[in-house]
Amino acid sequence: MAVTPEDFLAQAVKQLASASTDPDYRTVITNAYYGAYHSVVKLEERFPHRSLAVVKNAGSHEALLVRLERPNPNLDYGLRVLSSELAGQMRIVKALRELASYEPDQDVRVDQAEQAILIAKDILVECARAHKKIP
Amino acid sequence: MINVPQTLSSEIVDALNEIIRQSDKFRDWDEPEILNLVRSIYKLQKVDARCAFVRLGSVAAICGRVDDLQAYYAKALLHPGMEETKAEFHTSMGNAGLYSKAQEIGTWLLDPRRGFFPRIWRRAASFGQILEVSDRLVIAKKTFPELSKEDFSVIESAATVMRVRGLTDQDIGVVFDLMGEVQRKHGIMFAGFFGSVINIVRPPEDQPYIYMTIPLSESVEFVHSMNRTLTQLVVEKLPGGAFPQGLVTSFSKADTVKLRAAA
Repeated sequence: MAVTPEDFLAQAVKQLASASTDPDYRTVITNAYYGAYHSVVKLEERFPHRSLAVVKNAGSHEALLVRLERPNPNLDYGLRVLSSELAGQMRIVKALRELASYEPDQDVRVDQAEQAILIAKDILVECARAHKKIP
Repeated sequence: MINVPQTLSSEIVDALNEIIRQSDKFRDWDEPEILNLVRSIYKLQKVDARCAFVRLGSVAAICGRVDDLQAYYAKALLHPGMEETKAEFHTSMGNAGLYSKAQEIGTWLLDPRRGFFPRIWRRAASFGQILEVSDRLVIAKKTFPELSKEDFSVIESAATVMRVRGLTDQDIGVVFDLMGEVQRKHGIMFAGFFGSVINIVRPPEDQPYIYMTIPLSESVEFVHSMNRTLTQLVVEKLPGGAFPQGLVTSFSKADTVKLRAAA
């Protein structure tokens, strides 16, 4: 991968340091989100038992979240719980990202950018831990 | 003679409001400021028992004592003046994070015939009663012409999304109850200065959904730790271990501009 989830997150952190306007915060949120998203994608692809959920009429990001929310019953218990918790965290950062990307009439604030980074950091840490549990 | 309890009552209300204005942290029932207040309320009880139970309920709410709050509510309801009692406890249940209970009271109060609609609709919507407010708008506007000056566009847009997604006020109430649980664990009440924020999100590839946030005057790190607890409770306690379809909620840091305005 030419760009890793960590790169997206590092870029978001770097951008936040000099961010001062609404468009800056939107960019920070988007990069933080993509860091989290790609990290979760990599993890979900490595699950020994993939979700059986069939998601129709939804984009790939929404489909990923639904799969995380409905982990395969044969998956290790710890990974099942982690999968669901990651989905919950992703729901929040996805909402921030979709407000940032698709709702130009809504104000986006620095605290929302900071919140997106904190969530993304947690998700990357949790995914790294989970990778170690997968043979 | 009538002026005495009225004065005492208003002093107690002022003191309670001042405590809430000072901080949105839950208070300790045993701290001197609260004990003084409770002593004043006991004096009030001799002349106006209903009012005293209402105020004791308010104190229990800002101390996060949910069992006491519900007990005072039951006692207050035994006295004449049920309408005002319900209106007061609507706020107190919200302060303590008992959102479903607040919704239950709100359903009764929002009936336009009871006369509370203009006073409580914003608070009710803050507690997740979006469809209940929306469904009663036509009659409410006929009953209270002054409502024509109010902007209900967010409520109506949110209600449309909820109907499309099959989401109910009760679904929101269940998630908000978990948020109340998180608030009590972290010692933060719903002070009500900001209300919850209703965002309608329309991603191009997916169905629209509601993103509701409860703003808090806390640091981003603290808000984040509350959201972590919330997602754990969602997994542990909600059916399917996930937010209901069409709804996402979280805590957020309160907008500092609005904070200054409120101060």
